[in-house]
Amino acid sequence: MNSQIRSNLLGRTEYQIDLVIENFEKIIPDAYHGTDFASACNILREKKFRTSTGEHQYLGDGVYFFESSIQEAQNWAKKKTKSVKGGCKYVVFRAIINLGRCLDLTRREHINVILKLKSRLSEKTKKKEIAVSALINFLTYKFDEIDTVRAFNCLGNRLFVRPNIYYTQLIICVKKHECIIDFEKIKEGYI
Amino acid sequence: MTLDIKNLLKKIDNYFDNVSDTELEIDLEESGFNYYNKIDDFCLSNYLEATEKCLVLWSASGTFLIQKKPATEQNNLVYTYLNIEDLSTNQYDMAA
Repeated sequence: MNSQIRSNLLGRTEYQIDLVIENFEKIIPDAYHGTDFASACNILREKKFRTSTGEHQYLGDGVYFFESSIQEAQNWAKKKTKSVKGGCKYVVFRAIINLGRCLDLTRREHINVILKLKSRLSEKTKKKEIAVSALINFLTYKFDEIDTVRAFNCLGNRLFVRPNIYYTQLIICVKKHECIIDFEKIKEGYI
Repeated sequence: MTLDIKNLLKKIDNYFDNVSDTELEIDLEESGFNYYNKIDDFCLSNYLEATEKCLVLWSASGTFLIQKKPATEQNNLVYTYLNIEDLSTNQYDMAA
């Protein structure tokens, strides 16, 4: 931020502030992560989230958060707790995240990076279809430029027509743990 | 500290212009590419809702689509391969 202070002819002081806020430098103060009780205990003990890995991760390896939606994190936590044998208690964390160098798939120019990588990899490997999670992981591994990935996830059918509005939710996948500035347990409950 | 898109695109081109097949194979292996690129599982893992007539899928580009199931195979999760170029231009029928 640059600021200039100057006095005009009437003796009044004027402040001119050039404030530039880039979307990708922003801090997300309310990112939510839901999980089962046992995993939550590990997070609290280690003071660190564990990286989710596997081919079912939408945006590749990382720690996943719902941006600004405690409700979705809670739904996810309940779903996960149900899948754990004997699981009955869930926990929701709130985290402050610095997006840092964010591959923001809500933006066309960022999607173009994935399209370019897919195109070049397809040429080389002769594979026509490549999963987005595989592309993001390759990008993260090979070029080491990405701290977080952000994308919309659609969580339901169309809500309205004219204009068409769908229920979507922003998901953040944190690749670099240092982007999680702080976190706290804010909710727990039983399924 | 922003993501430098132009530079990243340049790096991608530079890498693929110069990488040998052997180096690429090693990089793919080390990044877990072959493990992650199970496109069938990937698509199915991203289904949101399967009704009698359609399957709702999510894509990382922020769009999603409603995939009609063939009438004869409505009890199976039948879908065609999706590719992100098509998804990003919303070519699919969203009003299935």
